[in-house]
Parts: sequence; C-alpha cells; structure tokens
Amino acid sequence: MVAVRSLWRLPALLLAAGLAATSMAPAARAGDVPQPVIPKAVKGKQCVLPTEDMRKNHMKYLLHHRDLTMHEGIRTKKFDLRQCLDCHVPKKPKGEEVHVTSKQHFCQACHAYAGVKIDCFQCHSDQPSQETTHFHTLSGRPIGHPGHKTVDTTLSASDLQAMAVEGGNK
Amino acid sequence: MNEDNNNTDLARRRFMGGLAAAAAGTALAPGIVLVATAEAKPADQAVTSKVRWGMLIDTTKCADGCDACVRACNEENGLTRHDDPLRDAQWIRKVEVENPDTGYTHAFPVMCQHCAEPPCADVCPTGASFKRADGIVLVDKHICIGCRYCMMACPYKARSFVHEPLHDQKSYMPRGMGTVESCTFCVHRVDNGETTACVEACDKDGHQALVFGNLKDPNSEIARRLAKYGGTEIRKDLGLDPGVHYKGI
Repeated sequence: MVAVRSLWRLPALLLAAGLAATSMAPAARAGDVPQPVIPKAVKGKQCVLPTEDMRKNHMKYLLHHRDLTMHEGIRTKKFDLRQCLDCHVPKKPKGEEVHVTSKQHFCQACHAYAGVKIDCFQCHSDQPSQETTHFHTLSGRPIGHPGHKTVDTTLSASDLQAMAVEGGNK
Repeated sequence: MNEDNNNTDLARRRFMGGLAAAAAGTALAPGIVLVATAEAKPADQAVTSKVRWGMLIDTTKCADGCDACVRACNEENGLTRHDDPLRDAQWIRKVEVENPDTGYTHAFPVMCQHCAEPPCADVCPTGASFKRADGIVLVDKHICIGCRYCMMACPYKARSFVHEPLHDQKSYMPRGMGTVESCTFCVHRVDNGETTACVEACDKDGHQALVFGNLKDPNSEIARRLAKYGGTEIRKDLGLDPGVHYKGI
C-alpha cells in the first residue's frame, strides 16, 4: 500500500517541482502559454468571497444566483453579475470601453488562458452598469423620476440613470 | 364591449402595422406626483402569490397619436436598435381599431397580457417561458432555445424574437440573439418597489391612462377602479385570465 501511495504522489511532486521552477524563472519556455495578466479591480479591496474561492467557484455562485433572480425575484447584490463588472471592469467613455472580446477584459483574461468560452455576455452587458444606461435623446423626458426610492441593497434602475448623467455619458 | 360579440369585434379590427406617428415634442406636465404603486419586498425574499401584478388601460384616456408608453418602453429596455419598428423588437405597441360600420376608430397599447394561464408557458418545450409567483410572465433566456412556439401560441402577438447579435444592452435588462422576449412589466423596477416605465411616461404626459398595481390588494388603485368601473380583457373568451385589463373597448 505504501509503495502504491508514493507512486501516486510522484507526479504531484514532479508537478510541484515544475511549478516552483516556473515561478522561480518567470521567463516562459518557448511554446508555453503565457500566464494571464489579470486586470486589477477598479474599486473595492476584497471580493465578496476569498479570491481563491471565487476563481474556482464563481460560475457556480453566478448560476445559482441567476436562477434565484430570474424565477424568484431575489435581487441581492452579493453574486449579482453587475456587481462583478462594476468592480472589475474600468468605466470608460463611450467608444473606449474594454469589451469581453479583449484579453484586457477581466473575465476574458483568464477565460482565454483556460480556453473556456463565456456565454454570459451574449445577452448581458460586459460593461459596468453606469456605462450601459443612457437615454435616447428623442425622448425629451428628464432622467430619473420623483417617485423613485432605493430599497435595501438593490440598485434601482433610476439610480443607474443618475450615475450615467454624473459620468457625463450624454 | 360585451362578451358575445368579442369575436366579431376582433375580426373587424384593423391592426395597423408599426407605431403611431411619433409626436414631435412631448409636453411634460410639471408637478405630477407619482404614486408608488408597488410595495417593495426585501431584496433577499422571493416573490409570492400574495401579489398579482396587473395593469388597467383606460382607452378613453389614451391620446390619439401619443406613443409615450412605447418610447418609454424602448428606452427603458434598450429596444431601439435600428429606430425602425419593423426591425426593432416591440414589447408594447399602439393598436388602432376601427368599427367599419360607424367609422369610429381609437387606439390603445397592447403588450404581454401576463395571463394567469399563459399559453406561451404551456407550449414552451424547455420551461423558459414561465409565470412568476406574482403573475409576471417572463422568458428565462438562459434556457430559451429560440424555437418561437410561444410566439405562435400567444394570441396577443406580444412577443418578439431577437435576430441579430446585440451589444450595449442595459445592465438590468439582458437581451440576446436567438431568444424570444416580451414585456416584463419592468420586473427590475417592480422588484424594487417602483412602477413600470410605460405607466410613468403616461402619467408624466398627463394622460394617466395606465394604472399598474396589485390585483389581489382590494385597496390598490387598480383593484378599486376595476371594482367600481369594471373592465374587459382582450379575447376574454380564451379563458386565459389576463392581468392586463382594458376600459372603454
């Protein structure tokens, strides 16, 4: 049994040694895929869960939260995709946004490296919420409305509209 | 309209394609105070069947040539892409009806009627079309395969299909190619204790033809008005129990 166990450990040890060697010598060998450059969060010091947990499990949290929001109307902020984007994607003026097609985008940086396609942004905006909310100039309606109020921790649509004005997104 | 000649009336109706001509400018009525119609639920609690959201459309107050509700919906949900009603998604549209005997015409908005027995949900092969506990009928685009059975099943022609890849969606209203969509009763606003964009726009323009509220709360404005003045539903004969009620048709 002991022999079998140690045999199993051998590849792991080799891998660990390999990783250590790589980290000691950052210059990747020819043919290696370069490590992803993960853009720093634009606001906030700590993610909603430890980084290691989020790296491994973010898709599970998002999937769970998506169904709760869609079917039960639960709109807490913790695993809201919009909150991810608000912290991790820089707010840029129109025309200069970093889109998910680019490796400069927080999501795509790792996903390109891992070779995992992201479907989220076929429907969801890949920009922080302020940037995507703009009003059609034909409307002539003022932005925001007197009856609006924010409940609990959920962002209301009108809050987002107000931000768009402050950001100079006309 | 009484129930017996529902079918005849509908057969006579001439549905005008597209939207009514846009009014060049929109006169805003200042000082209109919006009444919060929705009791906000805590963000971490699920919707319940204690509430049933509905809308009352008073067609006698719906102004001719006004399409404020349509424009508000398009803006709120980011539907305007080509600025062409034949190609853009339509979640709400002004329908003009005419009585050919008398020549009397009037127009009113038609959108998803948020049926209690939604035929779209009945025919959906994946469960993407569904009715929330509070009566709002939605498409879960995560599981919609774009087969469009729901569009065929809907007697109100309320749904649109997204044919083209989209970008710059509203962050609170995801939309994407290959999925079906329709009026959500502005679910992102309603969950936040606000009223819908179309109601807000109609009130702002001073028409107040639209009332949104909880049909199950006897003290809500919509329930009181329905109790006092009554209302009718389009194609009531189908027995779908729509959440959208009309007055004056």
